[in-house]
Amino acid sequence: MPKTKTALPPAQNVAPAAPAPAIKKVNLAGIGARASTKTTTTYPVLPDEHGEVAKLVGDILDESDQLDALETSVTIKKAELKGMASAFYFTHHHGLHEIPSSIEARNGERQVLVSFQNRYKVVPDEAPLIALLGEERTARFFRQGFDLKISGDKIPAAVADTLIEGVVALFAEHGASEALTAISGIKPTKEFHTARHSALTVEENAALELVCPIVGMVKTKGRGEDK
Amino acid sequence: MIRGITLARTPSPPLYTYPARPLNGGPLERARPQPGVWAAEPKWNGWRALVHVPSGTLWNRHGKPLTIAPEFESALEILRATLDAEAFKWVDCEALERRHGIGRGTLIVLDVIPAPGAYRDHTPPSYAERRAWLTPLPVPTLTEVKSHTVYLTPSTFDASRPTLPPFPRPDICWGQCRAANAQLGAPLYEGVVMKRVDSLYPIQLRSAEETTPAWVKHRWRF
Repeated sequence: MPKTKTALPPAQNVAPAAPAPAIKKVNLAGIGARASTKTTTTYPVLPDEHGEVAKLVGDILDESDQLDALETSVTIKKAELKGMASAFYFTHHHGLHEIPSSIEARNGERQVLVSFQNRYKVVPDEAPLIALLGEERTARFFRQGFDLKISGDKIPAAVADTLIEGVVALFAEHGASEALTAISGIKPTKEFHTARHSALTVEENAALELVCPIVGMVKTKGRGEDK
Repeated sequence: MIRGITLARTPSPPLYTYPARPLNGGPLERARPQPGVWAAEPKWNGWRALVHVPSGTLWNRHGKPLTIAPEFESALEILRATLDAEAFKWVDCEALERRHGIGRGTLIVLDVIPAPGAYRDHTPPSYAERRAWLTPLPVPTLTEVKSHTVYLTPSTFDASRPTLPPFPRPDICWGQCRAANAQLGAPLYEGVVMKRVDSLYPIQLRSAEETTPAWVKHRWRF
């Protein structure tokens, strides 16, 4: 429960009145401190001579609201249907060995399929599995899975080839080459994003957009809101 | 469940779960009807904080230590003295700090997270049951939120409680929160969060971004 301050006992001996203060102060005790720490950065504004920008911004915000509402609604209803279908899926197929991948749910002539793929969300720790299934069945049906990620751009260039060749050879030596996959591509250096505005011409930057487009996102959250 | 003593602090354990993250439902006036019974709660403009009551540790919504934790020392002591730290080990809160200057240092209890045993025994409590456990905590009126204390967030589900603001419908809750902001002259509320009354608290350590379809937030544009 919230603590309450102990009331002070009444004074037994009244002390002499204090001398008047040198500076007369206004009592501000009744005014709450409402220091706002809102720090919205000011950005350059896109010119809008013909009102096209305003129309687009209005449409984007309105349609984003509609989209959020519809996406959320569909997500909730799919979760509800999945809950109903999974209960049926386990009772209907109990004891069988040939299990269809989906359950059909109908609305007159229309239908949706609730599919149960061989994909599961990762459990961070086996303790709850052991508690439910016991050690033997947990060991039989579950194993540790992991992905190791190597950030190639963080390996010193001078040793990159040697290091990767070593990793490839190590996996081959243990018969695990299939576990090693690589996705390679060319990505800009850290300083490019800022340096391009001075090191490249406007025309070069525009031309580069066709080859290596900059990622641009239209954010509808956070601007004009209180965060 | 209620114990009026403060237990000695225990060492901080590993994170048990990320705080439940609601879906973004857009403005409430656009929301579509949904199956089931839902309760409406104010959406507080603060910092999400997962509290381990026995140790007094606070995590943010990303599962990292809450950097503003020292601000909540006195609120934590109240929480630890009010709730049985053994029964209520993990509490989901909103921490009010200096964002708008109201209720600074106060913890708003949103939910209590059941222990793993409840899930293993197939008896995890619903929102309605969890909410009932927390009723000894005081519920604030929307415009009177004190600093450095602990409150249970108002909910339409608790309509029988006489101390509650009248929240008969979610749309009224929405309007009341907006009116409270206007009266306070500060954005203490951001909208409402709808919570399905029969839902379980989602325990997961896969991702801080994983949302639950049992909670939906509706924010307004300021």
